[in-house]
Amino acid sequence: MTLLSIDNLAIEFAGPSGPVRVVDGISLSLGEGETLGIVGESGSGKSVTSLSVMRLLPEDQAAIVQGDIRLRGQSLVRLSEAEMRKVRGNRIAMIFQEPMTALNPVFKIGRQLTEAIRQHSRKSKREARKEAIELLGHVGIPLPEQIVNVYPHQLSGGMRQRVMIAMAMACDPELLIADEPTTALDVTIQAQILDLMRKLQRERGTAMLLITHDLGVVAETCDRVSVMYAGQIVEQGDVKTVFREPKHPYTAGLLKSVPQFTGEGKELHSIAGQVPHPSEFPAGCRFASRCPSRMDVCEKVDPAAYDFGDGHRCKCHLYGGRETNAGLA
Amino acid sequence: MNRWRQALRSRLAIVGLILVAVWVLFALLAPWIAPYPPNEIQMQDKLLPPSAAHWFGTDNFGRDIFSRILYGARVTVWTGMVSVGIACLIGIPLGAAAGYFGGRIGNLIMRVMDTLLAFPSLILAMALAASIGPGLLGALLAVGIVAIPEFARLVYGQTVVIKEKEFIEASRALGVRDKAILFRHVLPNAFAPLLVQITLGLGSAVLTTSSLSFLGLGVRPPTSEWGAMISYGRDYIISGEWWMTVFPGIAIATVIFGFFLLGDGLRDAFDPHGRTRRVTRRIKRFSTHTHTGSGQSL
Repeated sequence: MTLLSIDNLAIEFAGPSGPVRVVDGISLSLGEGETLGIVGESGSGKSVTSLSVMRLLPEDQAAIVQGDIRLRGQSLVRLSEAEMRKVRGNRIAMIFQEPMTALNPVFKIGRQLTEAIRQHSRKSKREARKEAIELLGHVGIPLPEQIVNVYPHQLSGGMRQRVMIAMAMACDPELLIADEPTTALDVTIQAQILDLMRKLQRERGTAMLLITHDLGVVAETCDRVSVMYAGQIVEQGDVKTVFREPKHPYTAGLLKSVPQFTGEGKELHSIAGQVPHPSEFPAGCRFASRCPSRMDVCEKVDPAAYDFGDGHRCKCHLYGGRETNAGLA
Repeated sequence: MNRWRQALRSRLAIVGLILVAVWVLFALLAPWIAPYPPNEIQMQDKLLPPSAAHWFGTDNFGRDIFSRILYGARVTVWTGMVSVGIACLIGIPLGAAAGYFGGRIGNLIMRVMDTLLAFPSLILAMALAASIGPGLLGALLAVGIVAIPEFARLVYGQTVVIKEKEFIEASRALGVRDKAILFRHVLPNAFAPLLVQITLGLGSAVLTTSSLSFLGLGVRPPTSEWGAMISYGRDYIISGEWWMTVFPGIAIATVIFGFFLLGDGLRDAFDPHGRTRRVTRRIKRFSTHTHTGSGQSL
């Protein structure tokens, strides 16, 4: 059953010269217990999309102007702030990028965890504390009885991220949104944190929306992937399919840009240019200016999304009417 | 509590702490240690210079100045606490609300605070005290109101910075309501600078209250208050009875010096990067305070 569905979502930010559409027409869905990766460069709108699911966009600057976000069929966009608070942390939880700053520096770990536990359940402080210690043990923190009594600055980044995961898991959410959860960590710690997240996800059947720019993380963790570029999803589908036969030139470019440590020392592929600023998105395909397979039509007409079966979709003129099913450059 | 130890390690801060503690003790114990009742008039003993019987001499009504200074410490401690309490109670919520929620109302609050700050604080306190009516209560309110914008501004600045931190977003993502975030997450993170401001504010409050009393807008006679005592002694400086002004003056100076040293020590303890010679700078400003009244902003 579909847990989360985002339907034709558009988000606008207030810009100096009128509203700027940062996310434009995104549709995706996430089944129960499934993991969906959202990949893209900085500024592609992936974090904005995840914040909009939590309805945590800065209200005075950003607004959902089109589309809907539904959790088990219930529209989150239309919920009141009070109703949304009952969803946050309880049904949807979030893990942030910077474990160094995502914990309040002036309170001990235990207090922050009990706050998370008691936010959505009527438990006594003592019960919550006991549960906090259990949770800490569960996320692989040694000596949890002692860790509840330390301040965040006494813990390493990896330990803090484990605490953040414990906090997010405190109310057993149906959906976990992880925004670059391993970006700020050492590579060895990254693997541990990903393993932990996968383990918890399996045990509890939590669905996960994983925002990252790291294709390796996606390959290791996700069932399906959505590739975002300039506020749009350009390709999505099963991870294996998308990685094996990428349809969109951007996806192909991204995959080629991953350093390979096997074979000869060749120069690393890079996609020339930069993501255009949201106020300067062209009328046609947004990737056209950087695309190696650019055609005349690309600059004028926004491409439609073409279906390759099994939910593998790609938004590119190369497949217009599927007549030109030529291989990608 | 490593920071407290660090604060105490700074010798100047200890001097400040001792000065403040001594005056608080004097205030508490005044009825037991004062050799004479503070308002007892002994006309035959008037204007006696310091001696074994009257350590600090007597004033023009024959009242013992040492006893009056001890009792004056009670007024001083009381005014400091109440007026800074008023300033905190109003200034902190205003600044926090303006900083956290922002918007038009936040803007309005801060512009009103800026307007209040634009006035030299002593002039503003005088105007307020005069309109509330002379007396200790008027002076307390006036001094408290004058200090509101300083607290509001400090908390506003802190809140604006802290609310952008990731742990605030993380608590919102847990479903914590704004009011709880403000009180449980934002304000505790602003505690260190607030503590410094409170300590320094106490010093300023003592000064402003004394100034008001000196000008006749503070306590009513015969209550012994240091500023008022200096005011009585003013007429006797030329005729040589220096003790009427010098001793209350020393009392005011030591209390304020104590609070400033303590405040600086606390600030250094909480901010290891900024160990500069702020005391000297503050004393310079302090000396201009009585003229312009604006020298005490931090």
